[in-house]
Amino acid sequence: MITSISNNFGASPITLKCHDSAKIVVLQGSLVIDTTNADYQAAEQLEITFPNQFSIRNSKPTTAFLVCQKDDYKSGTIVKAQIQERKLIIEKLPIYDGQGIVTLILASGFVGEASEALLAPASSAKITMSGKDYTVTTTIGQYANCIKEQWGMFYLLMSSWSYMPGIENEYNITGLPSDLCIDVPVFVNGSNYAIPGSDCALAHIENGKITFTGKGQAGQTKKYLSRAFMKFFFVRGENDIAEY
Amino acid sequence: MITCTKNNFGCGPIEFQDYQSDRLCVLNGKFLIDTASEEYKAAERLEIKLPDAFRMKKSAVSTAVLISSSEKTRGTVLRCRIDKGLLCIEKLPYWDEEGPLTIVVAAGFTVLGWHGQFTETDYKQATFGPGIKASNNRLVIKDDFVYASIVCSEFPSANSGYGPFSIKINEMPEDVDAVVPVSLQSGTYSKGQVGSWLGVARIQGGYLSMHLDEEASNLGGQDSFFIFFAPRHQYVPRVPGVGKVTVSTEDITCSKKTTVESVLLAIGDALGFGSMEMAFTQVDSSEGMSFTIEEYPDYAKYAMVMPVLSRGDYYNYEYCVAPQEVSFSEFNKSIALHNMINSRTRNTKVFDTSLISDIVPVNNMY
Repeated sequence: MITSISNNFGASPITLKCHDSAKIVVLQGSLVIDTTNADYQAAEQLEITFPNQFSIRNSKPTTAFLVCQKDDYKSGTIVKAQIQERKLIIEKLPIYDGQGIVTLILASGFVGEASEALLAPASSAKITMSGKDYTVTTTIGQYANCIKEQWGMFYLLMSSWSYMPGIENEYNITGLPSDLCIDVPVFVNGSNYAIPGSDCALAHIENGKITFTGKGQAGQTKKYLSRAFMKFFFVRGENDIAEY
Repeated sequence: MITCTKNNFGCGPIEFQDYQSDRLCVLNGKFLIDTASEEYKAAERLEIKLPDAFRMKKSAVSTAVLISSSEKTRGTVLRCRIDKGLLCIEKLPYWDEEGPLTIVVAAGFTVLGWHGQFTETDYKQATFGPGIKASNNRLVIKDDFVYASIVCSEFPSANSGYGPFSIKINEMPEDVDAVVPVSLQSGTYSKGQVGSWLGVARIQGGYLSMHLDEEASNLGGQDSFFIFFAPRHQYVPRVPGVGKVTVSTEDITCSKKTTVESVLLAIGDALGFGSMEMAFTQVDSSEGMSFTIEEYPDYAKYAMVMPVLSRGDYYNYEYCVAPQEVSFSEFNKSIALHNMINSRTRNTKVFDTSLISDIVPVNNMY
């Protein structure tokens, strides 16, 4: 875990799971941004400062997720994130500024300059996925499940994924590390007219289960996430993420 | 591999990959014909002298494919057979004014007048990486040769600027290194059109590679098909090399249909870390985009696939996210970005870190 010492957008101290090494820094966690805050409004980019310098002084850009809820709609997009010495720099994207509170989710890997090596694809551990019961179904299209000792990268594209609206849906997933605990957006191929970005659900993955609340009203008939996908880096262990 | 040094149409030595048995021979290769050559003009049919040791002296009829240098490389199939130790190919003078002509032989030759028992051959349904889906699909894999007959319900098209590409054929043996004639006649035939739009693909290491003419319209796409025989034990994968991939804007060439504002791609480290920063504009990016690089790094392999996320706009749909697959084509010396959900964006940005990964296909996407 690392905790920030300051930021330029008026947020409380920010605690993130962190795997820090010379080759990759993985940051995982989420924070709330109040877009009405004067500091936020004055900022050109979002800067979070940590007490110590990261092992990678200046990283290549990577993605963080910005998620906004408006009425029954949840939309999200990606924003650019980079490490610069002790700071995490995040692109300020003002598309949700009229909505009040937005959530920034980090599930990001940061790397530095590429070094020469014998290049070989990382192998994928097998995964399977199924609905908790027969009311919902899932069909995986393709995936990459790269598990390292202290971190990992997961990419999943679904061929079909049904859910029940307005209630929490639960799915079993095998093949992910048992110490993975993360909140990440599941994006779909579509938009909510009310707000920019992709339509998304906010999923929680822990103990071999994926859960999310289905868009819509309870009692409606089964619906489908259209071409749903997720891609994220995660930090293994440190399963006390619920603290923040 | 056999080398045929004599022919009656003024061509230099012609090489074919070969598989030979008493009842079936497979030849795979291509050559160019200069239609202005006097020998070609004098020939009534095209004859290529096979080596004396070639096992089959007389075969039943098979096919070769003629591809002209005309607009959209129109062409057709030609009769082709082995007769008295010669590979004989029908001469079709329709495109003589639009040479040079490419003749592709990717054919099997069977014994003429076989009277023995016929047995059914087992075949598989091929599955593909992103970009190809088959509506009609037979893949025969034998110890020493393969045969495929595949009609595509989805195939890359030149419409949106997706030029060079390599797409995995999951079941194709990696030792095949063959030329494959491909019908790219996706639209309806225009009035007065003679021949079909054709192209030549290469299958090696289990990947089908082509470079479509990005300036063309309706070339490729749905209803493209390919039928071929090819010997096995031909492709030797490159010895892995130590290095890193670094590509920047000035290193690349892209189709005129795609405007690439910037590219920064770096892949390195034994863990295969990749970072991509890119911005490009297309009329419609639902298929993907590709670009060639001047100095293709030897160690950038077909198998180096990397998932990244993109952000794009399409009219009123702004800041939409899509999963893209970055892939490498050793044959085309190109890099492609394939939109995995076929979402439409005009302005697309990528700024992501990832790993070159073993992306496991499980089911057809949609």
